[in-house]
Amino acid sequence: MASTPANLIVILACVLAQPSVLAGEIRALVLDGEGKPLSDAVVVAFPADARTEQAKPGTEVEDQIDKEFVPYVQVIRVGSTVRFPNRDNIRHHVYSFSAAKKFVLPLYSGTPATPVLFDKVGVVKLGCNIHDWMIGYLYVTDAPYFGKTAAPGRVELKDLPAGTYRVHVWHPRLDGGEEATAKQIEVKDDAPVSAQWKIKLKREFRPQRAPLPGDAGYR
Amino acid sequence: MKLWPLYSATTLVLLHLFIRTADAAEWGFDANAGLEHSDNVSNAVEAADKKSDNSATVGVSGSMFRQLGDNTGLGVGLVAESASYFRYSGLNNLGIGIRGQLRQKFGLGSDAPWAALALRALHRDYHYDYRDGWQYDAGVSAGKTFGERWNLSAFVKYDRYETDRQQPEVLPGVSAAAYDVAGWTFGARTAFLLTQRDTLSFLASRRHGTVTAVTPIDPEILEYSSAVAFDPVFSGNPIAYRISTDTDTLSLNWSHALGRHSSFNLGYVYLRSKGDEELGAYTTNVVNLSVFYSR
Repeated sequence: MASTPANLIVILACVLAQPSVLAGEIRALVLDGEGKPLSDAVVVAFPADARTEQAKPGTEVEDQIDKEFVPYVQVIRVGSTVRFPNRDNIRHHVYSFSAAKKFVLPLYSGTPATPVLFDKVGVVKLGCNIHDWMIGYLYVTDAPYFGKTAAPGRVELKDLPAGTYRVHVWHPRLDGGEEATAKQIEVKDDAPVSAQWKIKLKREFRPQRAPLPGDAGYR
Repeated sequence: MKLWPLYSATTLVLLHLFIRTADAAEWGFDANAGLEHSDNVSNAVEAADKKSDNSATVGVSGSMFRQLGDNTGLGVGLVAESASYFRYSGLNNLGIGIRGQLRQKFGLGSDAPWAALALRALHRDYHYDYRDGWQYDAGVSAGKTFGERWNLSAFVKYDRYETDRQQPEVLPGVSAAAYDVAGWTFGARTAFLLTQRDTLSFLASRRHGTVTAVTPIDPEILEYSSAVAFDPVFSGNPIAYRISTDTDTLSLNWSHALGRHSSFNLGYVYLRSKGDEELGAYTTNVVNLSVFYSR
């Protein structure tokens, strides 16, 4: 059959009329106890169907820039390795005492040759032994779907097969257990589903970076 | 005894240690500006002799810091600070000098205990020239953080002030070095995080040493003085005299972090010096407001 403009229009119309093959999506909004959008909240989704294939772990990067860990919170898949490049023109001394991963990267500049393996699920709190105010978090998860909220408190978990998911939220200042935030969410192929959390935060007391009179600090 | 050779040698050793280490230094800049009110800038014992004044203070410091090892850090810097008084301009002064700190941490983590050796030498140039001189401080401190909110430190410090030159003797056979003082201070400081941005700190110390006080000419006080000089900074032709005292200091400071690099501070200091039993107590109250910046 010869292609004519009329035939092309018919073919295009047929294609557009096909049902959408979009995968499911969870649009999460996380608010603090006062109803304000909360950034750096981790949202993880576990399918009820355990047959869901697990994505492979990768190699991630946790930077040190201007004497801060960047990003402040990062979600990584269990089994991933993480490089800790020091982008500052000074030396850092990174460590963690967390049960999920205890490690020390003694005084270094540049990027340590060997990345650190995170093979246990849990929260890893990072610190620098020189600059005590430097704190960062790695959230190590075996959930196949996860994300972290940006400044408006929102994150979208995409490409989820239809089904039932158990979704929960974690934040460095979360008051109470992460399990208490769990929700059962039904995901469908044809439309995103919205979910909202309002979580209570505890007060945070990080070592101060701002100068204090009469305190020479580390230098 | 002139201390500048000791300080010069120490500075050279610190600089040598500094240059030997291969990695890049961490450069720092600190600045502060504030207003201060003292109800007894003359450090007088009698209420009638006390002179109160306000002053504007400014300080800047540029420093280099090197981490010498996993737990040892060395910082050296240049310091400049000034005070400008609203009424008694003779007290206006500019101090320029050096400072150094060697700090050792005993372990890993923000709550690991630490100890530091700090030295500072400043030359102070007063509007009233006979007060010009070198100010030396050397101290050892140690501290630890407890939990997320408390930290506690203790210190021992030696301070010494040596004027560049002295007036002719006011009283025959009595030194005119009334501004040359020295003393040892022992103290403790604690800081408590009220909120993530607000820190309350409290300091208590005792200094044993000599102080300079000002009074109208009073033969009785002169009996206890080890040095006497005229002090035209204050009206009424008073004299400055030097006595040995124990000075207790209590200070309370509230610091509010304005961001990562700056803070607003409100402080109160109470000083009480007590010398010979026959002399009364010299008390001073100081209130200050300041903004600190560190980068």
